[in-house]
Amino acid sequence: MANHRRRQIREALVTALTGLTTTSTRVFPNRVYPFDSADLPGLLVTWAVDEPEAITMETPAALQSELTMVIEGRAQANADLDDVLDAIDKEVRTALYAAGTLSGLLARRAAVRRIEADYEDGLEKPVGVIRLEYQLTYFCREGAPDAAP
Amino acid sequence: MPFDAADTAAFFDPDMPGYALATIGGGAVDGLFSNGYAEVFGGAVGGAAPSFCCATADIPTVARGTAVTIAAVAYTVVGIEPAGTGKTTLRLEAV
Repeated sequence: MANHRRRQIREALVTALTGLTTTSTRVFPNRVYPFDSADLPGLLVTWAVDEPEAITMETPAALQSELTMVIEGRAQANADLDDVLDAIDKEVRTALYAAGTLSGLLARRAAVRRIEADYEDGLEKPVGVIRLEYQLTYFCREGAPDAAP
Repeated sequence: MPFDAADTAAFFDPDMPGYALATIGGGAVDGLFSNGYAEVFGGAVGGAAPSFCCATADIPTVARGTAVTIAAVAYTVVGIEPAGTGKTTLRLEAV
């Protein structure tokens, strides 16, 4: 049995985001432990909300899911923290646009819907995060979230 | 007997754990250096959080941006936190 479609999407996103100029191989799905200096600048790939809706009448119905994925860039720097976060934004958006439908996993190219940034100075250098919220659409079957309908 | 400068200085004796002789704004200042672990963003990022505690009277002109050197490592003051007891903690940022 294949993995959940959402996992397939998440893994495809990690692949698409690995090797970018600023964040290199520091791309982490499902990270629950704190990033330390070796992980920065890096990316966290997580999902926030998945809203499936039946789009056919038969049983099991085909489901269209609107999935919100969050790509969070984290960086630590002194004077150029804003520049680093903007570079992360640019590279992530460029890569995900080029990735298209993730080899057919998505109904259409992922769309960035919201971007926000935040900063804290409680460590030896200020830390900034930039959150890119993406809206993705994928299909699966009721009772079988691992395959296309 | 009131607490005086000599009593405060005892906290920054070279025999105290964490003692360091810092260069602050060009002058030598006795104090206690801490570089413990801290987290920000609710635990999303963790790392060192350097600070230096010394007698308030020893740093009359310190301000945000004042250069501090401790054990050959350069820092900048990013926070000044007087305790109201004759001691002040300087939050530091690595240069």
